[in-house]
Amino acid sequence: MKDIMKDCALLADRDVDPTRREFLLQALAAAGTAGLASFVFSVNDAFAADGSVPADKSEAGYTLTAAYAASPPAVDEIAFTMEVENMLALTYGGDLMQYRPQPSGTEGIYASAMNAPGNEGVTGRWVDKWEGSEDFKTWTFHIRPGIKSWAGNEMTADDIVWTWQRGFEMKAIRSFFASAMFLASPEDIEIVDKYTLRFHLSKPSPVVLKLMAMSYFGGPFDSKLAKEHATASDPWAKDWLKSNDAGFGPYHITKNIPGQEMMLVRNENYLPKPPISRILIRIVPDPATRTALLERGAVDYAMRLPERSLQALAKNEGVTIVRSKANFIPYIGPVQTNEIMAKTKVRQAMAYATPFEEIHEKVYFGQGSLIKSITPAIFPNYTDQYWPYKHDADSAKALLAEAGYPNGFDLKLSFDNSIAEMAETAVLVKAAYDAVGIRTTLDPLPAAVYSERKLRRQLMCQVDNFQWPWIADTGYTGWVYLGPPDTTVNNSVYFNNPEFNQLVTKMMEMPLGDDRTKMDLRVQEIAATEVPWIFLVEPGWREAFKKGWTNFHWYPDNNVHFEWLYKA
Amino acid sequence: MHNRFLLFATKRLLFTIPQLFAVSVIVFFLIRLLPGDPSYMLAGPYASPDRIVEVRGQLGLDQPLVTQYFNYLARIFAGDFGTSWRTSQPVLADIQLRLPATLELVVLAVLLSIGIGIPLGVAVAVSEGGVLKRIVFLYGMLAGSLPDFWIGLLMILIFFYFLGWAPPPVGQLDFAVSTPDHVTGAYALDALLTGNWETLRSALAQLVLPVATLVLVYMPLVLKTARSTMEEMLESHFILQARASGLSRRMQLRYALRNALPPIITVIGIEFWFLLGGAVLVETIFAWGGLGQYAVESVINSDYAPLQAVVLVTAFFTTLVFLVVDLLYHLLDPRIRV
Repeated sequence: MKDIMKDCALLADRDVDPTRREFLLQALAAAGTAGLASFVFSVNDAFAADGSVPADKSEAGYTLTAAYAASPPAVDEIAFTMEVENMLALTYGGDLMQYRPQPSGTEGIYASAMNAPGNEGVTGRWVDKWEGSEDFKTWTFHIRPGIKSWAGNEMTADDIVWTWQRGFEMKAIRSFFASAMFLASPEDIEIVDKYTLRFHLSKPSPVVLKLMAMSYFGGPFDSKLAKEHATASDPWAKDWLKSNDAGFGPYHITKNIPGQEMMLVRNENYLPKPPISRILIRIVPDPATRTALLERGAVDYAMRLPERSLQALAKNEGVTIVRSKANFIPYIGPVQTNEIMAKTKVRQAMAYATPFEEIHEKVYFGQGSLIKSITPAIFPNYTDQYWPYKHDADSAKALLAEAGYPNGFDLKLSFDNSIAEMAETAVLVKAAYDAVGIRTTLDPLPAAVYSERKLRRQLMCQVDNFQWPWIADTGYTGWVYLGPPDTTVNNSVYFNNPEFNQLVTKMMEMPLGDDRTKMDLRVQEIAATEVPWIFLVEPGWREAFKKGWTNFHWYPDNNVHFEWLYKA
Repeated sequence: MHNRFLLFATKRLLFTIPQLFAVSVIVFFLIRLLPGDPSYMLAGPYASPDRIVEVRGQLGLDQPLVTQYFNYLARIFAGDFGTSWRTSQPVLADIQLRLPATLELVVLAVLLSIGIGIPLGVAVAVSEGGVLKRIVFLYGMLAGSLPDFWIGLLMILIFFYFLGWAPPPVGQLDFAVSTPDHVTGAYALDALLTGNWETLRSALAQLVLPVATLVLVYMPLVLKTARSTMEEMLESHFILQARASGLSRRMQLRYALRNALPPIITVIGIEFWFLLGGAVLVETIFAWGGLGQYAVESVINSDYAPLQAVVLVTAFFTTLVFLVVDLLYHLLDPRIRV
């Protein structure tokens, strides 16, 4: 720690330009002593301090049985579903960094440190040490020696570079986040030695370490293993990696019969060695059957159950419902490619007409909390001061009249009909909107159709729950979901506010400090006054397990990380 | 007689070729009319427009429809039904895995429907009123009005949840039971053929509830047809003649049943055809992982390749079933021609 303090003092004394100096000093000052430690930290120290890593329980070698809703379409970033994310997290374990676990306030449940600003709150996953240069554009990572994949190959800097090269080639999620961290090409990653890498970013990113704490585009590949399955026509082993894993993560897939079952076994080389040695997964598409299986004790875990089922299960003494505050942002999204939806007063009227409390009570049974900002409540700088909306039919009608629609208008409200909570929400919204003159037609759509029309901005208005920002930062959340619509593919509501666009774009490359905090608040204010999204309820992370399992770790991917679990 | 039957069978078989070709055309173009472009789902929300174009190209969706169709036909003749984006597997491999699961379920359900439905229908037809007739009437009414998924859930609730007699509805085998060596792909049959008794026990136990659900819901069709046609036959002139001629009751029933069989066979054929694609809800509830479930998931996710293949395979089996029905008809009544 003494060395870190010395390094920081030296950095502060150097003749750096005001911006860089401000970046550095404010980043350090904002985080305090704990923040300083993030520049050089030992991963094992970070975990041991709060008891989140229990004494070795791998001897127990538990078998966990699980009922999943669907098979992952692939075990690679070529496809994007919750099951893919889940399998990637289990088999690849995530990227170089990870959010630091911290007690959640509930015994047996740890949460991720999402409330720290900028690059704070994260610690190494595969690295022991990391350093940012003075201008925060060069980042050096030191891989912990001795990390091995299930195949027994040791992780080296070559694996990281191959992984990024492949990511750029795939043009999918990893390459998208490369652009978010200003990594222009794989050539910008320099191999210093066997265990040391240097990333050269074209601009300073205040959240680069958080971007590297994601796991849903997998993690480093065991390139030696992957290359064994590459061919001349498929140099990146895309075909083989669709159905097989070559990761350093805690588990390895040994059986995968799509639509029927999967079996994962522990990576015996992974540390700390997981207490669960085998995971048996059955694909049970019907949520009622998944609920019955858990209720009867036939499985240890039932995936993706709606709140209604969780409420019923909570009465069963043999079941534990695990809950933690999370980062979900369900919303109603008026799509501004539509002339009516493009009017701010209309969107404000819709916000006043929305039955927030009723949705909270009837769809989510009072769990979680109402969302009152674009940034989740667990993120830094969150404030609800700008969000004035509560159900108020008179205000809604008055705003409709001001917008030029005294007699209301016809609204088509679309949603993915495979998500029970979205369908239930849409029904309540329709009743409330009809009451103020917004004559609403429900438009339930199959998942693929909904996904396509949403991304093509072809809907008039959508009820959606696919947003859970990983990067605990308002600038990032605004940029990734509602940033400049011509370049932000996720901006499915076509929100296009010049000031907002400028703010979130700037924040992605701006150091922490008072100015950035002011911009953060201004982004939250614009999101409240312009209402690109009508925020609904953050239901929290919710999972149902057979009683007895403990040491749950909530991570912003909202997956269950089985590697931590053991029986109390 | 032998030659006439062969000629009939050959003609009937040849007729299946244009049938399947017509099905392939209709299926291909109808599926293209469905809303939804899988490229968007496959590429994911972070995909750039370039990436979406690339995915569309990989799926061949950027070609004109007619070109897509001829490419599709060419691939089918080469045994390539495409790749499912949801499983990342060749569709043929997926179908080889799922078809035996569905066939095992459906064949057992149809055999039991025949084995129970026909004798029960005949028994009711020959009985002079009484309790049996009333019970069968009530059952026929109820079973015809209750959906199969509801009966399936009720079965799970009673026999798995409350009584604990049935194994967990997690598919064709219980947790931790190894799959048998592959012979036909149907787990129970393969376990029997390879002498894998533990797997056989588990496979049979898993079959009980879904098969019972299908039999309960769909057997009345066979039962009612058997009863009504037998009643009709027993009232017919030739049976009156047989009775007047002093033939035994047993002989009268035999003649009546033989003449009642053609409509019953037709109904059995229809039931088999319906269950091949219609057992989907039962498959979903019992997590069976069969062909119907595969088809529905394909529709929801705009996964064209498997959807086309499933419809073609179902059409093939339907044609086969009705071919068998026609041949049986011909055997029972050689006057029937194509």
